Amino acid sequence: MLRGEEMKGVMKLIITMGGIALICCAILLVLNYGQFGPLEKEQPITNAGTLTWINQTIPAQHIALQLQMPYDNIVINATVPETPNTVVLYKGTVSDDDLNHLRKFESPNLMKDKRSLPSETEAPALAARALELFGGLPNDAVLASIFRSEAYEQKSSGEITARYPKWISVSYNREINGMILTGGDRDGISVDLGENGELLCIRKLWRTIENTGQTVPVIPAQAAIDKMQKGETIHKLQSSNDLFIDSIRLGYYERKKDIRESILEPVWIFKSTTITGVELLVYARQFANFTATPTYGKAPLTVTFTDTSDASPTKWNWDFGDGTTSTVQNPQHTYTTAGSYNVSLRAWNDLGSDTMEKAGYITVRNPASPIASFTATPTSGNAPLAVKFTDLSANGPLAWEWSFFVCDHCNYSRSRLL
Amino acid sequence: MGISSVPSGATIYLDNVYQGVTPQSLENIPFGSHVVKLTLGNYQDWSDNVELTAASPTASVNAVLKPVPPTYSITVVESFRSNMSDLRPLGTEVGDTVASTLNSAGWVQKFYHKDYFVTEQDFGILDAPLNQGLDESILHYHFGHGSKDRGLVLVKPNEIGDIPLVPRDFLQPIQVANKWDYKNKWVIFDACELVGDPRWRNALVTSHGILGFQTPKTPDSQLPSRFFQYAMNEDRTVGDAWIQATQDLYYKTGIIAAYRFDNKDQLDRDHLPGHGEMAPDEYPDDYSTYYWQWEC
Repeated sequence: MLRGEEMKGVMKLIITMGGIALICCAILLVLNYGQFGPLEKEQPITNAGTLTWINQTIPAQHIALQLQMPYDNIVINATVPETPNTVVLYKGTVSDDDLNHLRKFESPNLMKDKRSLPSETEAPALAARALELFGGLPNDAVLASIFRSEAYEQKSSGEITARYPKWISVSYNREINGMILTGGDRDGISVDLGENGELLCIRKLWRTIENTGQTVPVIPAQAAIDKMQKGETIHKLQSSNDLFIDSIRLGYYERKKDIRESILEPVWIFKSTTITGVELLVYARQFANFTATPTYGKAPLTVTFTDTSDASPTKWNWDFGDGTTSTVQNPQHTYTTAGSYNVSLRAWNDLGSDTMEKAGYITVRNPASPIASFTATPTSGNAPLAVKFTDLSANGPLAWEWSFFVCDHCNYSRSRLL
Repeated sequence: MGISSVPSGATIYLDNVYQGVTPQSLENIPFGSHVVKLTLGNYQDWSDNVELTAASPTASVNAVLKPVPPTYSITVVESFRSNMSDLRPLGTEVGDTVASTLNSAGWVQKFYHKDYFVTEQDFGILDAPLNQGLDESILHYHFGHGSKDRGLVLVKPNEIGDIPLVPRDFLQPIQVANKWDYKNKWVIFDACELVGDPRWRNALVTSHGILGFQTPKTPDSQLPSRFFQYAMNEDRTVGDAWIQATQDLYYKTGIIAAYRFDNKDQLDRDHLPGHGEMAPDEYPDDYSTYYWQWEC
């Protein structure tokens, strides 16, 4: 049985710029007709923002009007740091050793039960000391988490009857210019410590990173949220809850380590700092671009479009602005009707898409030359006289040039039409 | 009549009457034709006719028992209308990897259901003594969406077309309490959360362990192949293989993987069939489980 559901999401944006507070409020009303399971409810995404604080509720996109999705809402309530419009690209190279051995050391005692473990305050210093034998703690490492791994016997009521400490792990992430590295196989170090701080296991992936010297534009956080709403995240979650996002920041994405050499790509990272494992990544690089030739001419006008996107796209979707599209990389298209056309190219690579739209990029005029004609009103009166001229030319001119001059002995002049 | 078997320890039935386990010497059997039947867990039943006469009053039975090929089943729920939660084609990639790896290792597939063909019955909710969903297979692999509050997400076709699908229902631990009581040993929940719920304990009758995750997770089509690589190529225990595979693939993601075994003996000793020993089912059941979670 279908029933109508009305869902209201409230979107608030508070943006502070140089001490001036700008407050915008908007009400977003979304109708949602659906058939719901017994435990289901409506599903908005919510977002919050830099010195900008954003608290925004965005409903998850409903392709049709009747569905429920496993995670109902993405609720974003976070501060977006002031972000540059461009980032420098770095290249990461995985060494032979990193490719084959994530585990740099593993003790036979790893899986055994321990009587006691170092405390969370003792662990980082012990981990740093253990790492001295393995190249030391790199300068660009930042402490990410301290996790106590403990097995236990548990009754179905949840009551824990016996505990078996296993290890305490200290893990480090890697940052470049304050941007964290994330992704398919991300750089980082994890040190597992056991009884009396015994080193149990070291796992480490640390690419060789070099600056490419190339700077690329990135999309703002809000554009990333729009992409997220369309499902355009690099990974999905196999979750079935509302997702609460309280951290938004720009980072670099590292591809899987079996790709030995790859560019670290800018991504927006939406994550929860309280529920570990909740992290959605949206590709942040603006890379789609194109040229066309010719961009102006008489109908029928055949235009050759050339994809000039960087970031190695593998899929293209052109919209020529006259209701036709193409998926060819460098298409040819013939415009048959006069007019001014917007052209857009959406290009995809392995991490996502980017769209470049050029408004009024192609101008097509009628094949016949225009025939100039106009009227004016009023045509006489006392100075100063305001006159309205109206173009009545035939064959759809695309540009006009009016000339006004004093003419004592003639009744009219002809305007020149392009 | 002397009866032995390889391996030994098989239950002996003489004319359908229990006679202990192999090796065994049975005395005072009347002359005539008798049916000897041997049964042993994870081995195919063996039987033969033995004729005892005044001319040949003794007989010797030496049976070589053939192992039963291990069985598995798969459920994949991946097609959703919302492009934010649609998991295609990763679920199919995961399911196909499980099927091809186990088929080439000689395992027998009981069923491989996808999307709305995946029903509660696949998870053994019917209280039939035999032949009920995953209860029929030693290993069950499920891929899909999950939630600690709601359980595992099942779907139905929407009214307009076949797919994409809408969530229909949620499988909760209570629905399978005391139901996994036939052949199943391990269930993998390749989905978010789920395993943290202590009430899954009630499902572990003949089942030994549930392997899965404590937190939300992202799909990775390499997860099953990595798990089988550790469990089969390296003959690691089932639990150990799960730790290694999840730590490899979700390194530094903050994702926490976990397993819940009926007891520590099963965790320490359980290997996939053909790759080492397996601990016995817990009897009597002590209402408690051995749970371990680790940050990948």
